Formats: sequence, structure tokens, C-alpha cells
Amino acid sequence: MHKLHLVVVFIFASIVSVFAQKMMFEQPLSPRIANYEIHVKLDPEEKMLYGKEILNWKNDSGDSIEELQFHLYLNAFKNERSTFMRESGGRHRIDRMDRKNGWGWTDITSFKMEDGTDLTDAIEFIHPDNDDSLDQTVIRIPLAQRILPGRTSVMEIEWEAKLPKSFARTGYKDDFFMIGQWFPKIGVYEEAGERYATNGQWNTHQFHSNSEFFADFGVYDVYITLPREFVVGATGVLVDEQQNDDGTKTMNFYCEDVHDFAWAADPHFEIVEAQWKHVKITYLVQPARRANAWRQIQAAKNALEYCQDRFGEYPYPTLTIVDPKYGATGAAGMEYPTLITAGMYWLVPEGIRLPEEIVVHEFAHNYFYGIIASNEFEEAWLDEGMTTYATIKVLEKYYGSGGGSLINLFGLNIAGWQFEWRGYSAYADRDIVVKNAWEYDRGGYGAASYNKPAMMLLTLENYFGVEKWKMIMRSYYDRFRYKHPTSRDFIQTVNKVGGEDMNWFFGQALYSTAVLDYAVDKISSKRKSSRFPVENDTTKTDSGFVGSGDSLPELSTADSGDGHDSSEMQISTDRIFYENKVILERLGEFIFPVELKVEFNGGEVVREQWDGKDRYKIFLYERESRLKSAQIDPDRKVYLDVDFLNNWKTLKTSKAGIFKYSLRWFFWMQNLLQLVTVFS
Amino acid sequence: MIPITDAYKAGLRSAWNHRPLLFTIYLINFVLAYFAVIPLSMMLSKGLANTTAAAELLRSWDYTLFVSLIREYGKGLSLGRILLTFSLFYLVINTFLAGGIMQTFIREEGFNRREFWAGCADFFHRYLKLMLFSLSFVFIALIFMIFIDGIFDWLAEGAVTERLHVVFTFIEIGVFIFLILMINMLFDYAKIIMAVNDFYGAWSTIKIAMMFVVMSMRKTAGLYFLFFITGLLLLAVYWFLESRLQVSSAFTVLVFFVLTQLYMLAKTWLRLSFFGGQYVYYRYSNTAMPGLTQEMLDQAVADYENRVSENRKSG
Ligand SMILES: [Zn+2]
Repeated sequence: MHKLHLVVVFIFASIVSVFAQKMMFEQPLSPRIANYEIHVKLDPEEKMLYGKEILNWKNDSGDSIEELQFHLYLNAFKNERSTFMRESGGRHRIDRMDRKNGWGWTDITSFKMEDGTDLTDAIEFIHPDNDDSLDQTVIRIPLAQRILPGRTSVMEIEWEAKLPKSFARTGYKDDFFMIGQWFPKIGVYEEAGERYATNGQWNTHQFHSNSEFFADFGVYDVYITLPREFVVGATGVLVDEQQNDDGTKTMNFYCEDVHDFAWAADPHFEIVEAQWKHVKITYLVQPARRANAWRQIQAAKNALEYCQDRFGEYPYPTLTIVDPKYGATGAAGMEYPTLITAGMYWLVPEGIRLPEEIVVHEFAHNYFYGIIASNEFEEAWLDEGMTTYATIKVLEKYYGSGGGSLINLFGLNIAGWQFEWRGYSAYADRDIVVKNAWEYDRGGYGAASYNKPAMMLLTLENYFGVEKWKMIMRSYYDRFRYKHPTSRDFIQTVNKVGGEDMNWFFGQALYSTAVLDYAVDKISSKRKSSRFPVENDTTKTDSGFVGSGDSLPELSTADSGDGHDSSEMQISTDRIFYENKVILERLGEFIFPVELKVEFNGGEVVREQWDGKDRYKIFLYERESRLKSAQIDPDRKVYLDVDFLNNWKTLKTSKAGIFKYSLRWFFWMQNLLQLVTVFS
Repeated sequence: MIPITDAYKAGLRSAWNHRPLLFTIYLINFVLAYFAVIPLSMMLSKGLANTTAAAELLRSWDYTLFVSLIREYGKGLSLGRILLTFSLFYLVINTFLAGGIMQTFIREEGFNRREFWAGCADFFHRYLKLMLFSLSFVFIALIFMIFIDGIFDWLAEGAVTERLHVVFTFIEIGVFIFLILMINMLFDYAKIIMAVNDFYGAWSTIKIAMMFVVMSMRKTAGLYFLFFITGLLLLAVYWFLESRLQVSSAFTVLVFFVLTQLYMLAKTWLRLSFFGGQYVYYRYSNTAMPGLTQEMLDQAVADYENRVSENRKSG
């Protein structure tokens, strides 16, 4: 029962006055479509939220809007019948849903338009993505009165929510609270021609097991009331804090030009602050991990420096990092505008850079998820893939010197890109990249949204060269920030700024399951005598192209001089020479130009280009010295190659290389066997 | 009572004096490990045949190459199965060899191949029974650890940080290692007592060994941990040397091989010293023996060592 309602007029007056007082940017950075003033009270004992939001929503389309659609994401954890629970089976990352006490839900208790029309009873659950009729994460509200193009509509929504036990990015663990996807959130209305929309329509999606979120930009003015002992971190800046008589306090956080708002509260948080240029970094760390806080602060600074240089300005004045409590791993490693959650454990050695990697990754999201804001439901790669790419680059730049940028411990080195490459190469032919996130199976989503696009972007960077690639990424950011771009927009940017039509590449990399695998198939060196062309310039790369085609020919043993123009040669009859042959092969369907490096025993090195189109290509060299080795992609530029092992061939195997590792295993085996005797 | 430092020194010396024994044990370990590593080594030689990757891997480790190697050439290769098979096999072989080792020490006349193998055969059956008892003791220790883990979980319930969990985990690992070492020590003495007295009953021998160990716990455990710490020191020295060695050429691979084998020899020596030292301690610390003075004991140890080294020279 809600007998006392604020007078609507008073509400509008307060909104106007509040927005007039608070300001983050002189000019709006984004089209401010969905603007929220939220008053929320946390009951830490009952794990309940009681909220009221005043949503100021602008119809920036040319259509008259007859219904509204909202997300009620917390209902994903309401029961076994939600789409999320059906898809995930109650598992997310390494976490399991507590099916006994872990459930959470949200319920709108009142929905009123500015004219006082009560639409609460008109609320209806819908399921836009499939037939899960029992899912309650999306609602529609038919309007009594249309919202005309260009008009702004104001609504007042009251709701309450039970928080789930820490799981899938949100929830509580004892007195730690990570509060995300917590308030009724309006969908994105897309008119015909906007992104992929053919008719004017709401873009809403159920909460899925694989996939994150999509929303419009706006201003968030949020008042959080909770017991005084809590330390709170939130999106944006803290503009005011009031102590209430009942032992609570009300904190007012404010942020402009973001499309979501999240907050975290815990009485045990310790606050570590740092400044990077215009950005104030606040790390809310669990007491036990205080000594390691510098690692994550430094990682955040590195990520800021890199992203600002390579993509563009980070506009916001704050970055808050939340360290989830022990046992709340479900809340770790998540991005929200200006607020990210880390993942740290006491005593994690410095050689394991996972704590740094998580901070870098979640921060980089603030560019692709936060500012560019593509649709994570429908094209997850634009966010996760680019973020993974940026993470690899930051790790490489700031942590790559000692070997493995991700793990560098007891002689075991793994670089960030190698780790992602492993995931990609295991699933390379499984899924296309541009695909609805909820249509992947488990392994497929990670490989297609994170790993493969990251390898694709690294490959492209090498294809265009660092400087041009930087221009491409900067102009993508510049053109599409706050605009929800699609894959098409990215491809067009690459084509335009890169100065080359790359549709042949993206067609394969994003829209097909073609596998990229080039190999050195065979190499040979045959000793020949007589008729050696003495005046042949040995520095010239005389790649005697013999042939190429769809199936491999038998190695030709024809007399080597046959193919040469005899007018250029003087014949010496007693010279010995070698007919050196290299056959390259394309094992996959993905076509990409590759480089070949051929080394001869005399020290000569020849580099060749192959467009990679045919199934195979033969290179023939007549030299006084034997062929030593041949290597495809000698500088490791083509990260999309699923097998680097077949990129090299030599006529003389390094036995020492094999012995080195065999011996190490032998030694481990000796020790293990000796250890077993303890049990005899 | 013989001081444990004397027993310790006597153990190290007697293991050294039985060098043929030492080399025999080392060689058997070598051969078995060699067979166990063949499948892995084959995978490397097949996968790296005719590729420059072998030379590249000599220079530096490359995660992606290993991923591809295992994907393409490691099919059907089960590391777990290899480890389990060879571990069990080695356990049995070692139980067999223990008889020969004991026989050699007890005879106190240096290493004699025929006597050694005779000892192996003579005690195999009895030591096998001891080994099964030892394994069941380990099993009981495991159950005890599950119990301890439950208590720790209960204690750490509602802990604000992971600190307590981490500390408890370290404690659990420490306790488990301690239990295993104690079981190992107990069965070392059981083997010694069985051999010295030519006992047949496994369980009664274990009971006597328990009494012996418990009655002079400080000394027996002290002696055991002297050897154990020597092992840790050896490991530290090995680690230090290995960390200095950049294995990136055929020559350094050879140096690495020599270093690892020297370390294995040293460890085998230490393993024999455990037996030797504990044997000397048991033999010359019978508290029930009236009128035994420290001088007499010292003399006995010296005589024992002389006998062994002279026999070795003459044999
Ligand atoms: Zn991510």
C-alpha cells in the first residue's frame, strides 16, 4: 500500500533543480535518452532493496511509441524456470547458484506516468528471444497515451528486490554487497534503419547465460541509503552524504553519459586512492589483500595510459575498483561504467598476473562496453573481443619483458595472447563470430566472442602496421562513441581509414568458420652437378615458381637448368650445386597472404610473399649451398593461424631441443619414482 | 644410548662405503624412469622431427608449440596412467630391493652381489606385507586429514577473508607431510627390526617398531629429520645451480643432464643413509642392554665401519 505519494509537480521541480546543480561535463557527450533519479534503501539483514526511480525517457525516434519495455534482470535468479537458469543449469564461470538460499528477484509495486496514470496492472512479462514463457526478465507496458517523436516522458516506478547470493556478477556475501542489474531498466527503442532494425522496435532481451547487456545513455542521479558503517563505491562521483537519525546515511552519486549504474557496499572495505592525470582511482580492497593493492592500482594506470593513447580520451573523472569479499567470486571480474570489480587472493605471487589482467580487462571494457556501447546480446565480440585484444596489448607492453606476460613463474612462461590463442585454436571451426550470444554453447561463446576476435585484431594490426592500426582504432572510437555501432560500422571504418577493402578478410574472419592454417609441407635439397649458371646473382630472390594448384604434385626431379634462360648464363661443367625446393600448403579454407623465410647453409636468407590463394605453392632455388630451413610467417604476425608447429621445416632437426625437454621430463620421473618409495 | 649425530654420520658413511649398492639402486631408478618417459619423448621427436621448432624450443619455451604438440601427437597419451603404472611397479621393485639393502647392512661386511640378491629374495615376501600395512597407514592418515579438514572448515566458517583458509591449508599440508614422514620412519624401523631379528610376523614387527619409535621418539624423530633436512639442503643446492644454468645449447643440455644425475645420485645416497643411520641407531641403542657405556658404543660403531670398509677392499 502506498498512501503517500510525492506530488508529481514537486518531483519534476526537484529533478530540474538537481540536474541544474550537478554537472560533470559542460556539453552532453551522449544522446541522453534514459535518465534516472533513483532513491534506494538497502536492508543488509534481509538482503532487500527498496527503490523508487524517476525515469526521464526521450523518444528520439521518428515513431510514436505505444508501449514501453523494461528489463527486470534480477528475476533471472528467481526460480529454475528463468531463461538464465535453464540455459546455465545454475552455473556461471566457476560458480554455482545456491539453490537453497541463493535466489533473488525484483518486483515493480507501482508504475505511474507523469500525468498520474497508474499502469502497474498493465505490466506483462514477455520473452523476445525464445519460447521461455515463464521467464520474467523482460516486461512490456502498453501506454494509455502514445509518446510522440522527440517528446520526453517521465515515469515514476517503485520496486523492491531481493538480492541473490553472490552469483553471476551480482549479489551479496554476508555483509558484502555487489549491486548490479538491480533496478527496472528501460530497453533501447530502435527505429527502422537504426543498427539492424527493419521496423521500429524495442531491443530487449532476456537475461541469458551467455551475454551481457545493452542500454541507452543518460544521466544517473542515485541516492543510496544504508547503515552508516558501510563503505560504498559506485558509478560516477559522490556529490553528497547525509547522516540520518535512524543510524543510516544517504549517499548521493552522480554520473553523466553512461548507460548503467552499479554500486558496492561492505563495512570492511579499505580505501586506497591514487590519481592518474584527470582520473581519481579508488580501490575498495578487502583488508587481507591491502598489501597487494599497489598491483591493481598500477594495472589500472597502465590500462588508462594505453587505452587513452591507442583509442582516445577516457572522459570520466573517476574509476572505482571493487575487490569482492572472499567467497563472492561471482561478483569478481565485471565491468560497469566507471566501476569495475577485480579478483584477488591473498599471497598470489607476482609472477601470476591474473589480478592485473582482470583489472586491465574490466577497465578496457569501459571503452568498448562503456563508451562505444555496442549491443552485447547480439554482437558480443565488439565488446569482449576488442577488450580481450586491448588486454593482451597492455599485458604485453607493461608485463611482457620477463617472458610470459600472463604467467611467469618457476620458468613457466605464458603470454596473454598465447592463453587466448589456445582457446581460439581449440574451437576455430565451431562458430561464426557475429551471432546472438545466447545461441552459442558454452565453449563456443568464449572462443567466438573473446579469443577469435582478439586474434583477428592482432592479425589485422600486423597487416596494417602499428601506426595505421592506431589511426583505425582511434577513428572507430572517435566516430562511434556513445553510438552503439555494429560490426558493419567497424568494418567500414577499417576499410575507409585503412584505405583498403577488407571485406574479403572480415567475410572469412567474422562471418565464416573457415580455419586459417598455412604449413611448410615439404622441403628438399638435391645435389646436382654441371651446367650451373655461374653468373646468376645469388642475392636475387629467384623463386623459380614451378606451379601451384589444388592438389600436390610429385616432387619434380627434372634437370634444374631446364627452366632457365640460357642467354643469361655461362656454363661451367665442374661446379656442384643444389636444387632446393620449398612447398607451402594451405590446410584450411581461410585465405590470407603469408610470408616465407628461407635460410641457406651459406647464411643467405630469402624472404618471399605468397598470396595464399592456391592450395599449395612451390618455390625453387638453385644455390651453391644447401637449403637449411623454411618458415612461414617468420615474425609471428598471423595470430589467426591455428597451428604454429607446422610453420617450420628444416633439413636438420635440433636434437638438443628434443633432449632438453625429454631430459627434464626424465628427471621429474626419476624424482617421482623415488618419492613413491616413501610409501614402501 | 648412541647420540643421533653419530648415527647420522655413520649412516652417511656407510651408504658411501656401500657404493656398489648405491649405484645399483640408482641404475634401477634410471632405467625405470627411462622407460616411463619414452612415450613423452616419442611425442617430442615425432612432433619436432624436421621442424625448426626444436631449435626454437631449445632457445626458449613456447606455450603455443606445446599446445599443438600435445593436440597433434599426444593423442592417447595418458600421463596419469603412465605415472600410476610406473609408480606401482617401482613401489614393488623397491620393496624387493629393500631386502637386499638390509641384508647388506646387517652382514656388516660390505656389498656382495650374491648376498644382496639373496637378501632381496629372502625378505621380499615379508617386506611386501609391511608395504601393504604401510599403505593402509597412509590411507588412515588420509581419513584423518579429511576429519581435520572438516574441523578447519567449521572453524573458518564465516571468515571475513581467505587468510584463515590459506593458513589452514598450509597447516593441513604440513600435518599430512609430517604424518607421511612418521609412517615412513616407522616402517624403516620395522624393516630393520624384521631383518635384524629375522622376524616373520608383519604386524608384531610393526608393534615392536612402534614401541621402539615411541619410547625414544625425540631421538628417532630427531635422527630422521636430520636426514630429511639434509635432503632439503640438497634440493636447495640443486635449485640454486639449476637456476644459474641457461639451458640453450647442446653443451648446456649435457651440463643439465650431468647436474640432474649428480643430484639423483646424491638423493639415492641419502635414501641409503636413512637405512644405514637408522640401522646403526637401532643396533647400538638398545636401552635394555645393561652395563653398556658410551665408550663401548663408540667402539662398536667404529668397529662396524672398519669391518665394512675392509670387507669392501678385500671383496
Ligand atoms: Zn569481458
